[in-house]
Amino acid sequence: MWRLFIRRFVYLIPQLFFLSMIVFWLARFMPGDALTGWIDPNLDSEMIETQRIRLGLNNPWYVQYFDWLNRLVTEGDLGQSFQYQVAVTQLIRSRLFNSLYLGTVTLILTYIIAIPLGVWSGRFQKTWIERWIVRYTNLGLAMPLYILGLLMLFLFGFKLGWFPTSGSVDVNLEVGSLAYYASRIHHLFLPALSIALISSVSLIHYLRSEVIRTKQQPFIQTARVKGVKQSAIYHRHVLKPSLIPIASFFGLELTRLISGTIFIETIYSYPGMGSLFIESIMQRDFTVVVAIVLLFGLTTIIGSFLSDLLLYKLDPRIQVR
Amino acid sequence: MRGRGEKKTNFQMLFSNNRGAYVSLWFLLFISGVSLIGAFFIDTSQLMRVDLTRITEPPSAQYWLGTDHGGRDVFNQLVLGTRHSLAVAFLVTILSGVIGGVFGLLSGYMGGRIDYVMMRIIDFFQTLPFIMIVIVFVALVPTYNVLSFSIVMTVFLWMPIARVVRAQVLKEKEMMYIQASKTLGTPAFKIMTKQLLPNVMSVWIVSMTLNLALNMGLESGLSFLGFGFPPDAPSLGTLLSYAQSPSNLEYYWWLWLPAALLIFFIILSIRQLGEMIHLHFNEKKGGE
Repeated sequence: MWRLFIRRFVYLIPQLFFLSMIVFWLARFMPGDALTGWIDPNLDSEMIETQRIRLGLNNPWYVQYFDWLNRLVTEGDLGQSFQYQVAVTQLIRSRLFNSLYLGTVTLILTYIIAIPLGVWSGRFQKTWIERWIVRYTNLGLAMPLYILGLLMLFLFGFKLGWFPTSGSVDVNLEVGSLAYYASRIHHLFLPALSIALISSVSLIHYLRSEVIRTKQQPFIQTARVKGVKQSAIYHRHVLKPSLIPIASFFGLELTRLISGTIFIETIYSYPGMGSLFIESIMQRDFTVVVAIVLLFGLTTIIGSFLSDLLLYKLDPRIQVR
Repeated sequence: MRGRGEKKTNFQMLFSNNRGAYVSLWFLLFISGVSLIGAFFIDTSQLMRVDLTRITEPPSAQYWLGTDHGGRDVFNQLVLGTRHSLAVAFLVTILSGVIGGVFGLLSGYMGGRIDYVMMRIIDFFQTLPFIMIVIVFVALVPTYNVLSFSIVMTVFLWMPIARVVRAQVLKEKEMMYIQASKTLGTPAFKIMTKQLLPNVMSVWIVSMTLNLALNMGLESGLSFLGFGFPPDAPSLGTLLSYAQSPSNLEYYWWLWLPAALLIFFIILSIRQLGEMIHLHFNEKKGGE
């Protein structure tokens, strides 16, 4: 375990290094720098030049890179938003929490959908139940997330009016009251369900094959012979060992969630990180863009690191290089 | 075929117990036929001309799918958009198929350290938040066109193909015929192209169909967000982006709904065909 941890950790370092390089290069190619938005057009160019030297903007790129990295690691400083003239970290904070809520509800819904469907499709093999579940997964694999999102918004948001069509919470509610939280969940439900309907598909596939494999094992036969009820067999003996590795899918889910939020938050005008990213691009607010790419990149890299470890811990048969 | 009596042709065998794939094939042929031939009859400059006397008309006999805010015919845009979307999807698939295929072949055949480094490169690419990077690229490069867009898509889409090809090469490499060739001193290049390549062809083709379905969806998604095709070349995603505005989404369904459904059915059909090809190769293997 420790050997694996160290090996995997050593491999994490070049990954993070390359990610930061890419992000830094993106930042350099973007128009504008730390002075953009601060410069008064009446200033003479000499003063601007001294400021540039003071801020190190004329240094060679590798010096700038290590400066940037240094500020990032030691102070968590990601620069200022051109658009709003506030620190990027401050701008991101509120959006980050919204996205976290969305992500959490999505994950819960994903498991609520995937676990029963996965188990049933394995348990009731070659019946109409399996056929319908397989049909659902086939459709889900072909359905792009943004199309499902649009269709759901059109149908349940606009035509039927069951759910709000934008925002994260009703405006004139007291923060912290019960109605406030209810409204939040009401706003969250449709976007979260859209992602969950699609991200559950691969989990269902995995669970199905896992259940089919497990139910032929001798210990299940034994339980049957002993006269344990079918439902008890599936709950206790089949589901449990199949569930454990699911935890490690978490890393993968995270990656999918992140790209999913870009589409879904835009469609549902939900104020999260994904929609902030698109807005910042539109407004050419590039310090924010860089910060978000970095943050999402970090999340996926660390997510895959954790899920590799978890996978190994839970199932030592799996070889992790 | 009558002349052969009871015996079914290869083509019929392929589809004998797969109605879904059969329907998918004809659907795809029909769609590509209409979009290819239809595009000749559509005058692009005429189509994109604004005509304020007939804005946002609902579907009618004259305009099958109505008109948009500039009075442009939606059906004709759909035909043109399908052609552009399919063209880019194929271009990206071919590019990533070649890169992924060569990468996987080399990585699998070389083995050892080289393989390890090559696989870490793939791992790294796969952890990048690539949709964001593509969006940033499109926003930054002022003169991007269909070709450069396809190349950027390819940069992030060749890895799954390389993985699949490599895995198959690793299996084939252990077979006697490769071992024998090696012992006889056949040059590595010849082993790879003449012996390994034909044997990994099946998984390669299957992974390319999956890639086609995937990048079809991605291109439309990026165009939907406004970071795909240049505006002078409408794709299916461009039509879909009408739905970004809530009033279009709610009241003018004919602007975006046909494109949405078309994208879904095209992807579904490609996947069905891919599944069929996969089963076909498996059966052939099992039958030998």
